[in-house]
Amino acid sequence: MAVDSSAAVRRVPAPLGILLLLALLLLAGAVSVMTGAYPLQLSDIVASLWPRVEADPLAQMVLQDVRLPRLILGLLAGAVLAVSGALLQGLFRNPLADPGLIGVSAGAGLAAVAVIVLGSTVLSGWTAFTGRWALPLAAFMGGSLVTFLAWRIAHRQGQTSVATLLLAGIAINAIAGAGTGLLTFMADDAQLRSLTFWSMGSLAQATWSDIAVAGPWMLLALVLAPLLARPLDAFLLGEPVAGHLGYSVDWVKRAAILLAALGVGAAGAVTGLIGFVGLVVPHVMRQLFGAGHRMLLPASALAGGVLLVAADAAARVVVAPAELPIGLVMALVGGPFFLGLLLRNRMV
Amino acid sequence: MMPQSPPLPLLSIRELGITVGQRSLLSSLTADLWCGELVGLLGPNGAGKSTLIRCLAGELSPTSGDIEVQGRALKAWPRKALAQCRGVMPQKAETSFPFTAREVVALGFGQQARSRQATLDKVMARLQVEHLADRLIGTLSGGEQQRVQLARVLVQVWDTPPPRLLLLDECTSALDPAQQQLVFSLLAELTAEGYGILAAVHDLNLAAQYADRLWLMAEGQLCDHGYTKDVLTPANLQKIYQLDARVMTLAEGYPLVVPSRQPNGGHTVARLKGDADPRPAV
Amino acid sequence: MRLGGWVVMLACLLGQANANEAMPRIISADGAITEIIVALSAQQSLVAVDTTSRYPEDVTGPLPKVGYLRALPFEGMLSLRPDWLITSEEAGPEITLQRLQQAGVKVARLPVVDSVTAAVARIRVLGSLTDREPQAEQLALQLESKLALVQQVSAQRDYRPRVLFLLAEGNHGVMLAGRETTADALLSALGADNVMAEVEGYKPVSQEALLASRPDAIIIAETRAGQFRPADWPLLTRLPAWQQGHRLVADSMFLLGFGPRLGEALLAVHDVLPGKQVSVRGR
Repeated sequence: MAVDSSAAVRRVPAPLGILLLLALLLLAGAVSVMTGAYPLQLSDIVASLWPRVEADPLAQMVLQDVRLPRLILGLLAGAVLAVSGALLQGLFRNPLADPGLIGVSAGAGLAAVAVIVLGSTVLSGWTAFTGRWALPLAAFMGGSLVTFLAWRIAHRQGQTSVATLLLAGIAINAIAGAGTGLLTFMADDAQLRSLTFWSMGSLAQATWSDIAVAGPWMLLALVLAPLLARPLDAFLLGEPVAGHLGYSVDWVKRAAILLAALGVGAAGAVTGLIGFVGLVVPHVMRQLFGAGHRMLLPASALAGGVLLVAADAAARVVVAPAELPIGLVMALVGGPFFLGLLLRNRMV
Repeated sequence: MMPQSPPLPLLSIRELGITVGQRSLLSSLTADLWCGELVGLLGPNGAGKSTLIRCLAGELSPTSGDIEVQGRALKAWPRKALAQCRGVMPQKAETSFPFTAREVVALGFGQQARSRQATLDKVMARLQVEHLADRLIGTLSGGEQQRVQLARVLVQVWDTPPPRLLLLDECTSALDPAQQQLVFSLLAELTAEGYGILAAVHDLNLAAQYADRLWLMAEGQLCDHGYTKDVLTPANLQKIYQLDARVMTLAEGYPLVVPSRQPNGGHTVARLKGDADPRPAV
Repeated sequence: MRLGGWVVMLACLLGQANANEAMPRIISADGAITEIIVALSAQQSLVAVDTTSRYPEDVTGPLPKVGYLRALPFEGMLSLRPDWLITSEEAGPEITLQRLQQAGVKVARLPVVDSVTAAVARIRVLGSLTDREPQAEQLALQLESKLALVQQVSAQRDYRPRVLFLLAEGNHGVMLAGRETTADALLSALGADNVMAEVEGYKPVSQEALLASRPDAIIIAETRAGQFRPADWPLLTRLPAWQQGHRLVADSMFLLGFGPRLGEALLAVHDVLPGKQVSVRGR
C-alpha cells in the first residue's frame, strides 16, 4: 500500500492544548463573573474581591454568594462530568458511553423524585433527619446504589463482564425509569414542577455549603482519575491486552466505575441532572488530542468546566430576569453541535 | 539442533485441561518450551491452539493441571514482573479508538516507569512500520495493523534481560508472503537473543521453515511434538488435517509440504473434523 | 387555624411596611396576587411578575417575567431592584428567598388560599402591603357581598348537586379534581358535592370513571383557551349533564385563582348547576 503522508493525523500539541484550555477557562470564568441579570461594574468586582476596599453591599452579595459559588460549582461539576464520561468511554471502549449507561443518573433521578414526591408522606422520616440535604443525599445514594447493583450483577468469580454490566445498566435504567414514572404519576402539579426543574439541572441554587459538601467528592474523583490513564489506554486495545500488559483488569474496571459514580453522583446531587457534558466533551477532546487518557482526562476536565460555566452564563442572561435550567441549555447547544460534528466528520 | 538451554524450561505445561460445561476444550496437555527455541503450534481450526495460548497468557483459568513460567507457577507471578518478561499477541486487537501507530506501540511499555524512544524506534523499524508511526491505527491495512501490534508486543519485553517468552496467536495471518518472511526471520533471530517463542500458525511451510520444534494439536490434545522434520510427516498431516501431501526436504535444510490434488479436481484444503470426506479411507 | 395565621401574617407585614415610599417596587409571583394588586389599582408598583400571572393580560403582558414561582431567580429579581416580593407559600427555592431578604428585599409569602374566607382575607392583607387599605376594603366588601348572594341562591336549591370538576393543563392532559383542591373548595362554597371526593388532589382521568360518576354538572378549567377539546372526550360529551348544557369550560385562573374574580367564578359555576337533579337516562 502506498504511503499517504497526508493521512498522518493532525493533533493539537499537548502543552499548547492545555494552555489554550486554561486560557478559555479564565475567559469563561471572567465572563461568568461579569454576566448576570444584576448589573455589576468591573469596579464592583474588584472592590468585592478586595476585602479592604469599600464595596456596594448588594454587588458584593451577588458576587460572593451567587456568582462565585456558581462559577466554582460549574467548574467542578463540568470537570467531573466530562472526566466520568471519558472514564466510562474508555472502560466500555465505546465513544457513546456516558454515565447514564451504568445507571448513575437513573438511580439518582429515582431517589430525587422519590424525595420530591414522597418527602412529606412516606419519606417524612428521611426528610426530617436530613433536612436541607434530603434531596442531594438521596440522589447521591441512589446513584451509587444503583451503580453498585449493576456492577454486582455483572461481577462473577472475580471478573466483571462489561457486556453484562451494560445490559444490567439498561435493565436497571428501565426499572428506575418505571419507578420514576410511577412517582411522576402520583405527583401533584407543584411536585411535578420541582422534579422537572431538578431533572433539567441548574446551578442557580449553588451555595458555598453545596460546594463544601459535594466538592470534596468531586475533587477526589478528579484527582484519582489520572491514575487510571495508562490502564485505560491499554483497555482500548481490549481487556485481554490490558491484562497481558500487566494491569489488573478487574481493579481498573472497579476503580473506573467507582470514580464515575462518585463524581456524577456528587455533582448530580447538587446540580440536578446535566446531560451531554459527559458525552460531548470527551468526544471533542479525543478528536483534538487523541485517545491517550493522560491528555484526554485533564483536557476533558478543563473543557467540561469551561463548557458548563459558559452554558451557565448563557442560562442566566438569555431570558433575564428569569433563568433557563442549564441542562436545557446544554441540550440546546450540545445537541446541534454534536450533530454538526458528526456530519462534518462524515464528509471528511 | 537444540540450542543451549537453561536447566529449567522457560514454559512448562503439565496435564493441562479446561472444561467448559460438558465440553472439554483442552485435556491432559503436557509440554515444555525452552528459552532459545521457536515452537510452531499447528493444528486445524478448532483444535484448541488459541485456547491454549489464552490459557498460557492467563486469560483463561485451567480446570486442571499446572503452568509454570521459569519454574514458577503462572498464578504466583506478580502481574508487573510477568508483563516484563512475557509478551502476548492475541489473534485480534481492538483498533476503534483514534490512537496513532506510535501510540499503540508505546502502550507496550505498560507500567514500566518510562517509555524508551530508542527501543520504540528500533522495533518499529525492524517491523517496517516506522513510516506509519503518525497514522491512526484504524486507517491502516490489516497487515500493517498486525505488524504494529507485534511491535507493541516486542517493545513490552525488548529491554528485559533474557529469558523472555512470547506467545503469538497467528501473528502473520494478514501479512503478505514477504512480510511473513520478515516477521519470522526476526522471530528466529530473537530466539538467539534469549527468547522462547510459541507461535500458533496456519501456514505449514512457514512453520517448517522457521520453527525449531512443532506442537501438533487436534481436538484439544497434543497429538505430536518434536523437531520439525519428525513431526511434519505425511502420516501426521493425514491424521490431523486429513490432508494428502508430500513432504520434501529442501536443499536449504527444512521440509516443504506439497499438498496433492484432490481426485474431484478441487484443491486440497485443510478439513475441519466432522466434514464429510468424499474419498475412501486410505 | 388559618384565620389566626392571617392575623399574625398581617401583623408581621405591617410591622415591616415601608411608610415613606410613595411607590414601592413590587415583584408579584402568584397569579391571584397579581390580579388583586391590579384590582387595587396598584399595578404601577409592579416591576415584574411570574409565569402564573397571566391576567389581566394588558398589565402582565409587557412586564418582565421572573419565571415560575417555584424556581425564582435571585439575580434576575435583584436586578429589578424591588422593595417587595409578594408571593405565596409555594414559592421557592428557599435559598433565593433568604438571599433576597438578606439583600434588603421584603418578602411576603401569603398562605395558600383554600377557602372563600381566606380569599377575602388575602385582599385585605395585600391592601395593607400596597398601602391601599381603602380600595382593599371596598374590594373585599364587594367580594363578600357576592359571596353572600351566591350563598343565598345556593340555599334555594333543595338538593346538593354532584359536580365533576376537570383541569385541562399543558403537558399534563386532563386531570380530575378530587378533595383538598381549590376546585373542591369552590364547589363547597356553592353547596355542591364533588363526585370525585374519594380521590385526593388532581389525578389523571379514566374515561370510564367519568361515565360512572354520573354528575349533575361538569366544570372544566383550562390553563389556555381551547386546551380542552370536547371531541377527544366522546364519553364525557355523552353524559346527560353535558348534553343538557350543564357544563362550563373556563380559564383555570378565573375559576381556581380565588382572586378578585372569585364572585364571578362562583356565579358562573352556579349558572350551569341544574335547578333540580338531572334525570339520568339509560341506567
